Amino acid sequence: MNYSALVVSSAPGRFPEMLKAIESLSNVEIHHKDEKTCRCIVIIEGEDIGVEMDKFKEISALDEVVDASLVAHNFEESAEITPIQDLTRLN
Amino acid sequence: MTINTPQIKRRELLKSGLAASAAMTVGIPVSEIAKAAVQSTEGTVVWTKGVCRFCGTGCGLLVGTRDGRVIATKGDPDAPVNRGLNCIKGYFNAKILYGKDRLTQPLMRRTNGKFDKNGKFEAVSWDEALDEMAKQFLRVYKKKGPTGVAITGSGQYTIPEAYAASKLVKAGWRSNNLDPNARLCMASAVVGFYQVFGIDEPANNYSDIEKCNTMILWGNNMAEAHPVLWSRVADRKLTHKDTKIINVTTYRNMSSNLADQTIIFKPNTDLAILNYILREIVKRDAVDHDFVNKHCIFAAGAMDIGYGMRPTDKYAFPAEKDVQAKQNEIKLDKWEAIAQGRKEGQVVKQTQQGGKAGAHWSITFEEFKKGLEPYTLDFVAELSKGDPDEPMEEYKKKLVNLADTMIDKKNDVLSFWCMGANQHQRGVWVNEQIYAVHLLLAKHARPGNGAFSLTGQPSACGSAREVGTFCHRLPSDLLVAAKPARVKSEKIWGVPEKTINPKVGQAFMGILRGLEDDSINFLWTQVVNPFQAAPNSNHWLKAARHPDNFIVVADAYPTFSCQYADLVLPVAMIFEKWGLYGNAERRTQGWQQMANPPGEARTDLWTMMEFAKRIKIKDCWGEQPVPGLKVEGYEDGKLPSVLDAAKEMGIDPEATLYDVLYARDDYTKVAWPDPDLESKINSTAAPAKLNWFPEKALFNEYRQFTLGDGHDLADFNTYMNSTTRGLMWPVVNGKETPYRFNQDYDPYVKEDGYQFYGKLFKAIPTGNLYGVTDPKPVPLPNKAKIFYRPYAAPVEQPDQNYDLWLCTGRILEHWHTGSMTMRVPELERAQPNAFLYMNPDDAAKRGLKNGDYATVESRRGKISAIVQTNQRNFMPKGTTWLAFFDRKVQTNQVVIDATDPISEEPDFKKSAVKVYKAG
Repeated sequence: MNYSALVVSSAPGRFPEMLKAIESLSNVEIHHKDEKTCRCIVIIEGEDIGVEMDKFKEISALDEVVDASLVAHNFEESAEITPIQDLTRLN
Repeated sequence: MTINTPQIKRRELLKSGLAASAAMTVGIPVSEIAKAAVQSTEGTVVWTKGVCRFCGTGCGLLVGTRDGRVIATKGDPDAPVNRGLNCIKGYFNAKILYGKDRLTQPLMRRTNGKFDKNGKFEAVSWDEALDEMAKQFLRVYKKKGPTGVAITGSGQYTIPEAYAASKLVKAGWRSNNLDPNARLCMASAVVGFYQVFGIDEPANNYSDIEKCNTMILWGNNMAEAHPVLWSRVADRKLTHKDTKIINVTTYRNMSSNLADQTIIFKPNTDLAILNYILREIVKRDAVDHDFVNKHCIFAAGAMDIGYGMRPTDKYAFPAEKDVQAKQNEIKLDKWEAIAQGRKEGQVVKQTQQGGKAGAHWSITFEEFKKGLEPYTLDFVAELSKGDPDEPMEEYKKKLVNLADTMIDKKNDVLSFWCMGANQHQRGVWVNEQIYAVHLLLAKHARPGNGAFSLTGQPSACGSAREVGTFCHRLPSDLLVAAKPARVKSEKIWGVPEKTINPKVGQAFMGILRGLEDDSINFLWTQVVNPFQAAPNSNHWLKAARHPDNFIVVADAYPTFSCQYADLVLPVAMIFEKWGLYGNAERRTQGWQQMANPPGEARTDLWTMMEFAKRIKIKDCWGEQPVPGLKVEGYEDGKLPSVLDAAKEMGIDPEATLYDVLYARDDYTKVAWPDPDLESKINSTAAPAKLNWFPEKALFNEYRQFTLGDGHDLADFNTYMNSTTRGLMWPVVNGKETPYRFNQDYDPYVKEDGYQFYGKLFKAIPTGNLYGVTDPKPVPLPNKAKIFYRPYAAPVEQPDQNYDLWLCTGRILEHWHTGSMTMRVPELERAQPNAFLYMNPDDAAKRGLKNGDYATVESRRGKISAIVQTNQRNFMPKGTTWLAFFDRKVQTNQVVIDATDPISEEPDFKKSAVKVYKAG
């Protein structure tokens, strides 16, 4: 499982709409809302690593979202070295 | 399903800890309970400061490790560069360590247990690898001497690695065939700095983004190439409504989204546009005469300098010969004729090629004005308008507005540029022209005002340029051709006088050409993927397979270059070794080792030290042939033996290069582990069983070069401790320097407001626009030079056969050749293929639409790519664009290897191609 934390901003005055739009998406959770600066922290949870990127794009593409930035990242469960096995591709 | 199983509880804690951590990073208020959640989940995670592996912005990261593995990263809120933000590449910094197919053992081509260039790759031990490497090195060295061997290094070297390479090649091998991939990105900028200021690197710093109200982009797509800096630019524009941004470019790109104006120009005509602005400054009497009279002189230089191609067509593919012939002679087109004050159709021999290309001299202000005369608005607009669909009147208005905006006294102006200006066959000239604009207006080296040359790689500044890993350089802006520089270096390095070779070696393209023409037979590549990254690559792919050539590729992953190697060395990545990088604003930043490299992978530094153990002093320090060496104090064509002088210094000829260059007494006294630094792992010291600290010892010695002449670095531990977030050099008495050459900020400037104290090329002859009139060198201490440079046409242009321009570059999601970023699944998914960006009408005319496969063919080769007409890059009719990150799309097989003749930096932006439906 991979976890990403994003900071997401809305345009002034559109914060509640943005929160609603994000809440309607799957595999995301809103933590820490800051109404004053129209920002919140969103956690994306992704079993399939592709889910993270798709969700980030989905959030960025929301009409109510002015900016979405990746901030922090925990991927402990997939931090594995995979040494090259098949040398024939080099030949 | 219960909701209180330990796994679910743990996940909830992890998520809230991560969220709280992120909130604190960006300054969102967080409750004490949430802060406690961070503590409990991160309890056993060790957070260490780090630097981003990618672009020259140099963002700070916090890297989380547990049990020797990197498991998390976040933007560093305390880093002044990025204040907690990352771009998408930076965000995945740690994941690049864990891509598929990490190299963990040396690999050698063998048959029946012996090295065979035509054999298949097999895993071998380090001893087997290094022994063969030394054997091949000595085979070549004995036959061809120092000019027959080479290392291609990198702007992604750490500082200690760069310094170790410099010593090995220049003091050990007595060769100057060491050149970094920074030759392919920043060489034109470096020469621009040298010729204008006499010393490398920018005067300003990033905080000027928050102090200016005008930013001009000169052919750089900052939104994709320096994304976090662009976030700061965007922030400035959104919070200060009068901020203006003008994007001067050959195609509409992501930077246009924020720019107030996009000016689309024809390739190479930036030279003319800049002269138009200079002419306007003079015409409107907007010159700051006070500043210019006190601090500047005017200059002109050699004009007929060729295009950096070979002077012979012996090695050219048949289709290349017509363009290659222009290296020696050209026929001026009507634009060049007017621009240069000559005749259309005039045949001009390129007599100032090679070493003569950089010659320059001082001229009067009257001559300078004379040179600018042809560059009227009408002339420049006709010549430079790049979008055939744009009405001429609109375009002219934009040029006028550009001049108005830069000249307006009320505006605090920053110019940014990068590859569009540097990877340019007259890139040095463009760099000089941008400085000319800012110097004439006195808008440089002060808050909110500056000509800011942006650096592409993470440590082209810190490692390649400052340490001097170039064929003509030594550390701290010393040059091999200068005797005092060699003497200073030999003293610090503890080697005899005349060890260092005074003849400039081969630059990056020269090294590859050397493999082709049999003058170089041994190549070791480090932290670079040259067979994918260098232009006109079909030549070098063939050359690598010549039977006499032995190619060693050191990398973390099996890159495209590995296929052309004879020996592959597995190396450690960032965070798996101690290191320092220097970013584009002169900020040197260090990180402690946090994780171990996998399997048998070793640090590049360890590989150099172990290789050095296998070469003896007597192998290199006897008399050595250097064809073409002609320097006072030396016999023509050779380096003298320094073995006797070495014996007098107590150096035994049977000693190894390792003994003399690395295992010095003062090095072995540098304690490992370091009592004041947290990390107790060192993957150079451990396998070498050292009880001393090699990275620190090398840095300590390197630092001696920097002290006292404007390059001062702080001490190693300062950069490594957990509180510092880097320091901008020169660091004097513990204080960094935000603005150089400015008396208010730079401790090296004592009076006069500004002193451009660089020493290089500060005594030049006098002349006029066309040549020298009085050869006596006149000293110009503390002055900067305002250059007149003419418009010159690109050597290869679209014609009836190859009818489109091809420009190349990189995109946001991928770094360079994709060795790292294509292995992060998220980034690969975001952009798995390089697209051929085309104007939709150009595509339709060729029976192509979005998503079709097209073949791109030039005089040099052909490749195929998917056509893209409606996103990211919007091309004007006549121009196409490709990135070079995609192994499946070997862009550089079609790109020309013409270079700026002064900087020897290839022009990756201007090749002529034809495009048709892939069969």
